[in-house]
Amino acid sequence: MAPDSPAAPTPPDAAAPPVVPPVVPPPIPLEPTPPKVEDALLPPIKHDYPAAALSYLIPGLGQVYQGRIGKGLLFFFGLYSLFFYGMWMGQWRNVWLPDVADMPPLELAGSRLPGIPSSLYYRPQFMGQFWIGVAAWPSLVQYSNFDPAKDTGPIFGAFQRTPPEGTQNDPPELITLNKLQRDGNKRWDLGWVYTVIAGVLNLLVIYDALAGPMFRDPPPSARKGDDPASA
Amino acid sequence: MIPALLAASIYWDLPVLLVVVSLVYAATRHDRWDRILREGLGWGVRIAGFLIGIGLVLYVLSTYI
Repeated sequence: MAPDSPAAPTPPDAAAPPVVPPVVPPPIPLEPTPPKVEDALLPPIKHDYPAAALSYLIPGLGQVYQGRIGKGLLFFFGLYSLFFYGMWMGQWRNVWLPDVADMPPLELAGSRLPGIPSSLYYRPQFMGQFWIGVAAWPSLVQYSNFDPAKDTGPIFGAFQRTPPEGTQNDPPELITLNKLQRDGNKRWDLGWVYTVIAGVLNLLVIYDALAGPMFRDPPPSARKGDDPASA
Repeated sequence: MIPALLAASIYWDLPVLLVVVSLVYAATRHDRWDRILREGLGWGVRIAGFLIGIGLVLYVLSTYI
């Protein structure tokens, strides 16, 4: 037999494993997946800045301004209920922006930041409470008019004013931070958590007023006659 | 355990938080009321289940260990 002649076929081996056909991966599409029919029917998002500003001032007011009255009322009653319920749990002494003039200021990258940055450093909860809107503005009025020699501030009295720390010689009727944190069964702390959650939830409400809900529905006209899938 | 649950407790304040968070969050995701209520109910059930589960674990740990 010549050396370059093809070899004779070998007889099939009964003990050999069965041949498994190779797995072929599905072809990679060259074009991106086309948008769903529902998304194609949606108009482009238009940002409504006045409505967003209104929803910051009072939760849900921007939605009412846009004609979404039911949702606006839901946001208004829901978030104000949560915010003021939290204040009630804290005996109306858990929303304030402290005056820190007599305390070491915040230092960031070697520079000292007195004023509101230092106040927020000592009371970071207010960064969440602020977003509830005008309901937290008395804190700013109290902060800008704070007089440590007085027990109350202008216009709002003791509402959202920095509570006194407390000493051992305080009269029993005086509400101080030491008493609230020692005698409150944790409700004072849970109360400020509620107010922070209300403020942070209003950020979502503001965005809903600005750009609409996350999942939008096609307009009724598009749903009735312009459905390309039915063509 | 039952008298402890019926006593004045911060846990009785949680339903307010649960209902408001579920409904408001669902309403920021949809405009139609049927979808808002359905998703709000889903979030409420999930949050309540999580809280109850954590509460049971803590109760078992504090009682038997």
